[in-house]
Amino acid sequence: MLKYFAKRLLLFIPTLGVMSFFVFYMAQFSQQDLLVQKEENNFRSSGDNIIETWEANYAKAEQLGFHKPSFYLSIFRKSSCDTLNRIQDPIIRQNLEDVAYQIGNWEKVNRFYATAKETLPLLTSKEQQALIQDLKNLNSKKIQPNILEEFPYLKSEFKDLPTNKNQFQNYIPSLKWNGFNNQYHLWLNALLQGDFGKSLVDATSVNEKVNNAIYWTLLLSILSLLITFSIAVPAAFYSSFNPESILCKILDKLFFLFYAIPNFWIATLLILFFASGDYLDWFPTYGLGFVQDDYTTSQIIELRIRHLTLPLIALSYGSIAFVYKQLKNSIQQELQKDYIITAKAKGLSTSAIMWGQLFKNASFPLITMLGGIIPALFSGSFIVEYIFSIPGMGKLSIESILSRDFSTIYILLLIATFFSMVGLLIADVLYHFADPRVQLSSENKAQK
Amino acid sequence: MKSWKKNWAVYYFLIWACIAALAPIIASQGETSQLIKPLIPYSPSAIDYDNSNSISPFDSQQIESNYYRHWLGTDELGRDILSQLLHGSRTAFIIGFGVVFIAGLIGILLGGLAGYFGDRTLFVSKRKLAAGLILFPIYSLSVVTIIPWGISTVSLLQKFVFFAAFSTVFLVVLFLIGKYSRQTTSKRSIPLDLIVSRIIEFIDAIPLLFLLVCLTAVIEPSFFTTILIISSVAWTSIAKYTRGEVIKVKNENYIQSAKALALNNFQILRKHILPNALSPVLVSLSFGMAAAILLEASLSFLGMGISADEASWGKLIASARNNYQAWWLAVFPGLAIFITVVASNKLSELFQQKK
Repeated sequence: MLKYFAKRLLLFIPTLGVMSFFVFYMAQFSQQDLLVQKEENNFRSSGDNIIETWEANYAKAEQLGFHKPSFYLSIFRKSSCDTLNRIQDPIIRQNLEDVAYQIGNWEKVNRFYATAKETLPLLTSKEQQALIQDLKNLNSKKIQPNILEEFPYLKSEFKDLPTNKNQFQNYIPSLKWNGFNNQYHLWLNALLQGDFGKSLVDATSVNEKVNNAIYWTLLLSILSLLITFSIAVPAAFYSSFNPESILCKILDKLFFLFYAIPNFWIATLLILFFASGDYLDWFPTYGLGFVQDDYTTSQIIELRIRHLTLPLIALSYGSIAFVYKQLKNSIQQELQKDYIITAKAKGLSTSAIMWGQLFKNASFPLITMLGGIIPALFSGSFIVEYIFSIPGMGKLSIESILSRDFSTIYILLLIATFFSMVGLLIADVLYHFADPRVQLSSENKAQK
Repeated sequence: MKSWKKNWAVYYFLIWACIAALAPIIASQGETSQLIKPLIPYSPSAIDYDNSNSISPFDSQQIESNYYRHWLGTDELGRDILSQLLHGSRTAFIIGFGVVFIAGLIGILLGGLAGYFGDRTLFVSKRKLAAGLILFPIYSLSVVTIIPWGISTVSLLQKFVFFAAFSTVFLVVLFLIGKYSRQTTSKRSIPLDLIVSRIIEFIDAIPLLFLLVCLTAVIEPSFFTTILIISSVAWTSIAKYTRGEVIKVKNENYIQSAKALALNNFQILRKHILPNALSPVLVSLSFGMAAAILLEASLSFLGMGISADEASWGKLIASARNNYQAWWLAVFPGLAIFITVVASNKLSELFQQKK
């Protein structure tokens, strides 16, 4: 048992490792350019000297560590280089890489770019803008010398670029070991120490955002789980023992329909008909309500219940239908087994059979379902929180995506994955405790 | 399969396919096709200024004749809901079948292979395995660097041709090594099942919608990318189904006798296992269709689906959120999604009955 538990925990490492890698790169690709974009917008609005913006950009990037190599190992083609990420402007970076691929010689391109960069501070601000524009217009399809008209010696250097092409270098892969002073290592280190970094958009710490949000998502998920089981379990037992009753038929039909209704539709309809004030005005439309200072605990609870009723309905109906269907199947299978027939033959009452014999055996699927429901709840609360504007993880992530706050988005993805995995593990372990006959996979292997 | 005439979902799918194919003709402004008079004289983005500000289907509308009536009302800008609904069905159809096709292909292939070979029956000689293990890192390193993925002047097609050519060369090298290396008796099994199961576990551990939304943040959504994004997570359930079914079938006696007759793995898989495992797989495909349609609608609802000028059911429901008086904005597209999902589930009964 312990061995199995340890093995499962060890399996967390590769999964989260791959995930962290994915998350880091996605955030990395998107973030750096976001920074440039932001600075450029500032420049446009303030009308500052372009060279100051340029330098501020580099300083900011250096402060955030973007100039460091991104991983332990750099892989690049010989005609390119491993420090491309030091060029802050994404368009210039792309153009230089294109030109380098065209002529197969990075050193030359780099020399050209260095000259251009050195020239930059010596020019008037109008010329500076022209030069930067030229750099952004470099077109490597046919290396065009007709740009850079105002800068004769740069132009000659640019013309000189395609003279000795070395395209063979395009086909040589290169590797470089960067050591531990790289962005991924530092990011991962901070992450393991519980520091999720800062949001690039509003500079608040991601930890703070997550701390505020996770409480509501957990509350919603746990309440929804409780509601699901307290409705679905009695309903499933009732309808398996009274298959002819009208209520059973209604439940079957109703839950079949529930299964196919999209939850964002139900949520929208719930607001439309019960909260918007145009039809029935029973519940508030969104949010969690404002707690005033003189509220007593019971008043706060009442306020929260009023605000959370509709979200909880929207979040729970789907899993109620799911649990009902699975549990009913399992009960019907159990009912045909010998021990139930024996119990009936002994003359035990229905309730004694139900709770004394059947419940334990039929409820095993409940535990496995728990594992499946947890990720689904996360996904479900995603939309429900957005619709009802509850400040949980779902709303936070949608807001982050809309404001293109990548450092937050991918941390949230990582956290959600972690919680789902913990959920799955708990379900597996509970399953083992509930039914020791079930062999966990590692013990299985040992016997083979 | 006899009872397909009694299954209403079959008719629903046929009608749906027709509407999806003919939506631009059924509902258009009329200027484009002079020959045929469209049934609904509004295109989904056409703005009727006389009937803007969300006219209910039952209100009096400012129209010349009943031909111009907005049968399901209009939205805030005065766009016809019925027309948007029909064009939305086209979107749902393309996404639904696209995902079923791609996810089905990946899921059936991986699930089938994992189920059939399991962990200990796919043997490879140690020499070949070693060659593969050495060559694979070289291959992936070269693929990442040599093929000009990041170069904007090389077209995507060229990149893929380059990639395909490169992979072919690599495969030929691998094949030649396999052919001309000395035959040895020492073999090792490849734990195919373990590998596939781990990948499935990994993808299933991530909350689905979360992952999809994160992916749409990086990838520009279009029909094709939306299908790819949804397929990249939807294949796991199909693979799980197929794997389970293949494991069930492969222990049957007729497979044993096929093996005794010295049929090779490929023949057994194609002629004996696939046909017998097909009907449960079709069940999982129709469930996959329902899931794909729901996911597309959810993404569009969040404003992260396909581009803004394509009509989509999810987008229509989202528009109801700005305007809660207009129940018709939410009710009709929701019903369309609901009926389609129920129909997909119903369609699965068709395949179940065969057993």
